[in-house]
Amino acid sequence: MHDGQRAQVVRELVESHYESLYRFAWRLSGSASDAEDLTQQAFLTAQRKLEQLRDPERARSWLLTIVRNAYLKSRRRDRLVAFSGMETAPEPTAEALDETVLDSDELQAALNDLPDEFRVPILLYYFESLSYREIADRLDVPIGTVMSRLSRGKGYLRSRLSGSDQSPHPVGAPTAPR
Amino acid sequence: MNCHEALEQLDAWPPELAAEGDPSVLAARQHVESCADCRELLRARTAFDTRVATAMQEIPVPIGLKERLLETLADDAAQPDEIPKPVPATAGRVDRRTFVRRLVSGAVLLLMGAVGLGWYVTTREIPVSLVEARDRLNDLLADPDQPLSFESLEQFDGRFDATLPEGAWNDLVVGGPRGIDINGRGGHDAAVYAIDKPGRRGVRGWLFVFAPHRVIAAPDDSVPVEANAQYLPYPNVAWKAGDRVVVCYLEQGDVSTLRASLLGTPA
Repeated sequence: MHDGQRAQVVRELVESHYESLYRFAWRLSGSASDAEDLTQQAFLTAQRKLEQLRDPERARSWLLTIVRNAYLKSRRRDRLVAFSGMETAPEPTAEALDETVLDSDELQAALNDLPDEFRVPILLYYFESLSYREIADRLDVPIGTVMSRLSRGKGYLRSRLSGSDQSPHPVGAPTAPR
Repeated sequence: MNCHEALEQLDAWPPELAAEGDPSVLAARQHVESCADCRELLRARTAFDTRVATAMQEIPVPIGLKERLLETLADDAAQPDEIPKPVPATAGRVDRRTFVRRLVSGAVLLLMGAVGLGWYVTTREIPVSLVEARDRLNDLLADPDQPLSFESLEQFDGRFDATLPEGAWNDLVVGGPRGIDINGRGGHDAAVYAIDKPGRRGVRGWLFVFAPHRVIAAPDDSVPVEANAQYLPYPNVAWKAGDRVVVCYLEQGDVSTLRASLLGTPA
């Protein structure tokens, strides 16, 4: 692929997917500036490793994987989370769920309080609409782990967003960075 | 099956496998079909799920982001490849005899340095802090390009006694010991065992066993405790077993089920 072709392909990737990547990165990182950095980093990586994209129809998925890996790599040394397990919060009633008005900022605040082990599969499920099997393959974990994390993560979001959970950090309390 | 169990079962089961005839899922479905409250709650949860998926996308994209990205990418593409810097011309010339003498001296020094470095690398065991060891293991296990694979590890080189102490947890071990080079200096810094206990409250993962003198700031605990666990990107916990330090990474299960399995007691 010569330089002109490569530039054209990259331009098309940006035009088609930059909004989606930015939104995914925002939900992952919880910050507009981090989201922009991650989006930029992902496209730079894509430009340099364009040969790895063999199936153009999988471009979005490939780019989102680059974002996710870049995010996890940046987080690995920055954040230590004490494992405390999921505290049981009361599940909201059908009426409470129906009456809940979902606010994007509140959703983000709830996501921010989830450890990455829960947030990443939650985003792959809700944002990318992946099946459990696909999530297990992407994260290279057994499907049972995905089932457990999604069940607990979804239950947490229901409780938190409907107001039945009053605890600020019901899943794992983030500790100070090392 | 009661309402709570039925809803929990259906909540955890992958939608794409709904058609498969798992007995517990069938029982849960039968319960829900016969229970109006459960049907209503399941409907509300499904509707809530859809609304969460929609809300996930509700992020305003900054104005000018596309242009900034394209500009950065164009700048990056325009960067020339690294060009080696020209070697500066020699400042002064030396006669042939001096040149040969310097050449021989340099070669001898280089040889001595290489021998010394080889000895240092192969014989000296540098202690590693527990934090560094965990970070390095995290990196190896979660390497996006080539994650650590148990099968690819060599047999442990036996540079310390890595036999596991007696106990119920020996039943967990399904493979090993293999060896792993943690600090990249060659030789095995830890023995690696694969653990697997199938079942609903089973555990699966890796045990890394270190000689005590190799680990700085070893944990005091003699069993895995949650307060001593780290959670990114794999849940892991360290403790002392006999005179060895053990770090366990869990691909399945959590610290409480691991502890119960090790102690041979119910979780």
